[in-house]
Amino acid sequence: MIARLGGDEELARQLVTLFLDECPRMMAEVRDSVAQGTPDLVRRAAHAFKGSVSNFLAEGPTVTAYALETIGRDGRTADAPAVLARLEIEVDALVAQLRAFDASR
Amino acid sequence: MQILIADDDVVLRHSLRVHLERWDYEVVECADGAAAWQVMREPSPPPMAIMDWNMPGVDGPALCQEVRETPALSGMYIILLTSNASKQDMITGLESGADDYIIKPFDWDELKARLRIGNRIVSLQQALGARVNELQQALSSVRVLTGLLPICAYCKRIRDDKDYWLQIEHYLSVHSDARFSHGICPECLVKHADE
Repeated sequence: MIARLGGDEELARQLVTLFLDECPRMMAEVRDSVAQGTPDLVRRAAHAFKGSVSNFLAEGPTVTAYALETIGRDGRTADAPAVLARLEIEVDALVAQLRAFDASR
Repeated sequence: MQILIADDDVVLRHSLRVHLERWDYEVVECADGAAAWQVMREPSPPPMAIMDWNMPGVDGPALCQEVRETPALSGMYIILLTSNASKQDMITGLESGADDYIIKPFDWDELKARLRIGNRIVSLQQALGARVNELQQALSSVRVLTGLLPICAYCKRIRDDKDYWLQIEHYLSVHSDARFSHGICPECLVKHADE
């Protein structure tokens, strides 16, 4: 993860703090968009979350957020809740990992 | 050199700021397109910009179009930094007025190298602009006589635009930077020797 952030541990810690602050708001937007079932909102919220989470890793929640973005783009919102459920699990795991990293200084 | 970052991702924005400042850029951050446009409308906007495609409000390509339609910003060097990775997206982004297109996730060394290209182009444009200004100033201080002058076939006086007939040396000294020193040419010396 540190390599993906440019190889700088201090910077990585700053970015983790920013992400942990922002993550609840961004995930709330993703949840709201799925609940509303509006394709463009789903696409936008998932795209924004994907951008932020992709700063840390290319797999897991980044791939799932992209799947949700694609669902929004294609207007297949009926498929969104299942993908959102997977995203929630992956994000919880990532957040736990980042909190552990944050606490390890 | 000043550079504007417009991206709604606070994590990437901070990361960009830290890297760019290490590379000696002076960073102005904006979280959306509308805020970026406001910065661009200020009297001395940054000559370079890194923009995300998808932002709340005005998106990157729309912002590029606004910039290219604004003469005062015509020299701004814009990099679109986006996860929109298809060839069609890239063409659309560049056609909207971006100078370069980088796909996320990107390599920091690549971004640095591409910024150096932008920096070089902006510096060349600024040097060229300064030289054009110098030349314009120099040109405005040079007075050139052009056009058709009505001149008397006998006494060689010139009629000015107020219908006065003026001695040729008077006319030329008013309408040019030429100055006269009076003397007598050899032919006139012979002709007028007895006077």
